[in-house]
Amino acid sequence: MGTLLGSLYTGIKGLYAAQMGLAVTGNNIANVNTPGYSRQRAVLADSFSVQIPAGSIGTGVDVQKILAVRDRYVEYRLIEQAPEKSRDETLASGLSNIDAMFNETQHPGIQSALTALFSAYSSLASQPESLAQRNDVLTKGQQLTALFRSRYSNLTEVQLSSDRAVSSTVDQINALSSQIAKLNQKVVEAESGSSGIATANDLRDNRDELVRQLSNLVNISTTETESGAVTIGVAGGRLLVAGSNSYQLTVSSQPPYGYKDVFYGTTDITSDVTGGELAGHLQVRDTYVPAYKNDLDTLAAQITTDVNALHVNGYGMNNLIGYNFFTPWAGPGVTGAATAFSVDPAIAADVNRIATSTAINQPGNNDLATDIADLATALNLSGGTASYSNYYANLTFKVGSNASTAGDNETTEAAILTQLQNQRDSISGVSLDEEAAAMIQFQRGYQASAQFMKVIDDLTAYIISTFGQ
Amino acid sequence: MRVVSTMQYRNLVENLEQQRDRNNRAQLQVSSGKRILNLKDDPLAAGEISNLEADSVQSARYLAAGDTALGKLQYTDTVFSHMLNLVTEAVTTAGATISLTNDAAYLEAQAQRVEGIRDELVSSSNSMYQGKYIFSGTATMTTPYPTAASAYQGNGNPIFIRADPETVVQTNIPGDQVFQGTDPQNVFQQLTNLAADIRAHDTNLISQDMADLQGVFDRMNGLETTIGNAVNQLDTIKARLNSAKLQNTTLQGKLGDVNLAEAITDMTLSQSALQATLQSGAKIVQLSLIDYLG
Repeated sequence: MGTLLGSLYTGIKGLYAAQMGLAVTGNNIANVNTPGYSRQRAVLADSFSVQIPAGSIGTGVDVQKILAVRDRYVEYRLIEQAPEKSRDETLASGLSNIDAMFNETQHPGIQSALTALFSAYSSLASQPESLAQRNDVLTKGQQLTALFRSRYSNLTEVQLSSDRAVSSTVDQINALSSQIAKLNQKVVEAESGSSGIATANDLRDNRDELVRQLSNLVNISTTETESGAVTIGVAGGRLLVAGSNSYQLTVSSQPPYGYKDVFYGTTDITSDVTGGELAGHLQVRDTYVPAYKNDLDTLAAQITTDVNALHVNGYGMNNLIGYNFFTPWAGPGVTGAATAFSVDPAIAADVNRIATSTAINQPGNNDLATDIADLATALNLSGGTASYSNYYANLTFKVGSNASTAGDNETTEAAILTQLQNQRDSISGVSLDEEAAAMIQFQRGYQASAQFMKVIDDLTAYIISTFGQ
Repeated sequence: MRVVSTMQYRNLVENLEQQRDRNNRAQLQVSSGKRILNLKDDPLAAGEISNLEADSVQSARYLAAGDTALGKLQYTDTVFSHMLNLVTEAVTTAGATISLTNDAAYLEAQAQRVEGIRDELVSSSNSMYQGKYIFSGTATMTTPYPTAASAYQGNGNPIFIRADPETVVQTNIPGDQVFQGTDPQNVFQQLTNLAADIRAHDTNLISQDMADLQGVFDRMNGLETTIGNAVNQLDTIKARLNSAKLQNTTLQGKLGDVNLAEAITDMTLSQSALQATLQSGAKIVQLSLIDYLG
């Protein structure tokens, strides 16, 4: 080289490199807000040199490759962190709904109805002959039992919502894993020797974004093979995506309630799902709500048992005897006590059947009514340490505490995730300042190369015109 | 650290969300007057408030039962006072006949007066409070003494009310204890006898009748004292329950009510912080080298 025409090629290479630089810059600017996009850089290197007697002389610049700027460690941390945050976010959301159901600091609820019933019975003890007081006891009993049933039903609705969410989340997981497998195939094909692309940056960005979305849904582990494909393990390392293959999760209704468990092939992996939205929905459905329901059942069962034990042996007006105040539930254990909790139809049909006395022919005898009213403060629950009100107050504490813990965890996990996202963006995000500077840089480079070519062209023209005459 | 626009937008949005949440929360606290808007805000306090509310309703239950009992006992006390006056009047009347000469017309008038007292006493024995007989034990729908000659129709059972968790108070005295006690005859029969003895002007028997009536007076007086003691006991318990209820309400307020000064200050601060975040965010996200080129 070292000739005028050779220098012309050097100039062309400069133009080409500047054009490529500008193209990459333009692409970065266009994707400044694209989720998961990793900024790219045109990696330039000086072209080969030629030997001349005076030494060696370069032949311009080559664009070696277009590099996506990534930090794999941060990428992996994001995938590890996302399931924690998503699970706690889902939990916090579900438990907040339950918090609102049991929040009686703003409006009356079960606690008020509970104390109102026993207060009504106390008033009846003061005037056992009063028809109005009897009707009041009936009304308060109906209000209390209706609230129990309503609250229990609300909890069941939360479980059903979570159950539906489990199904739809599994569908999303399957859709994403299928797309990731397809992208795996494209990445491998693109980066194989035949295509000539060193790194399929955009395909990788797309795939990584889908992996991040997947990690929001369920706890996964990822590894990248030498071919460039990503292998994904789910819930205890079971293979979800391997190369161009994806393996589908399924759901199947299980007894006794028909809620859906998650299956990998024929294996029930529900208990291995510990992260992501899926785990949040499962925990709300299978852990928290059943515990609250059990508490409501326990409380309803205890009230039913205690009141009926006294009531069935007591006399109402006109010496009526032998009636339960609350309809007994079928069981087993306390199961179903809250849903069956209701004032016995015989009592609702005739309030004179409400018992107040242990002795016949004594309409003014209030000993039984007093005993029933006294049940309000009897420590019959939690191993003889809690009254009905204490027990319910403890339930509200548990509801609030669980919601608070989930909220706090979500805040913490979200802060960590934000930190990681910022860390990722700090490395891979597009900086408009940088791109503006790069734009000027490549613009000037292009202008200089063009100017250089003009000089060469002028010299060439001069020579041609001089020697051509 | 390399800072890119997505980080700035993300941080700005998160900061705005936090400030708005804080501002919204402060506004809700101020408008509702409640510190605890959700159970998760302070689960322990929310549970404690729930317990306190139950205690408060229990106190109200005891107060209501006490008030009902007080009304009945005070009415019973009034009836006792009236009956004691009647017995005193009967004794006075009998005493006046002993020293007099045998004036048949006068003695007949006094005998009729004693019979009038007896009938008034029968009426008092059938006194009702809120439609229920107060001297028929727990047979509150049964007339204790339909006539002066009737035997006691009620029963001897006491009626108790729960005045507080540890205390029960008797709110009635069965009629047989009031009008007969351990005497062989009830007071109505004694007055019937007295009227006959006055007509016969048998001073010995009249004296005996007077002694018997004095026994009735002492018995009724003792029972009235019992009623008075019950009233005093209920008054004391009521004062204590009211005091406990006030403390309960105060504690509930401390746990659940918002400190308005604090909440308003927090609302103002969060509003200022929100404005500052908005302003700074708007300025920062505008800054880019691109704006200065060309």
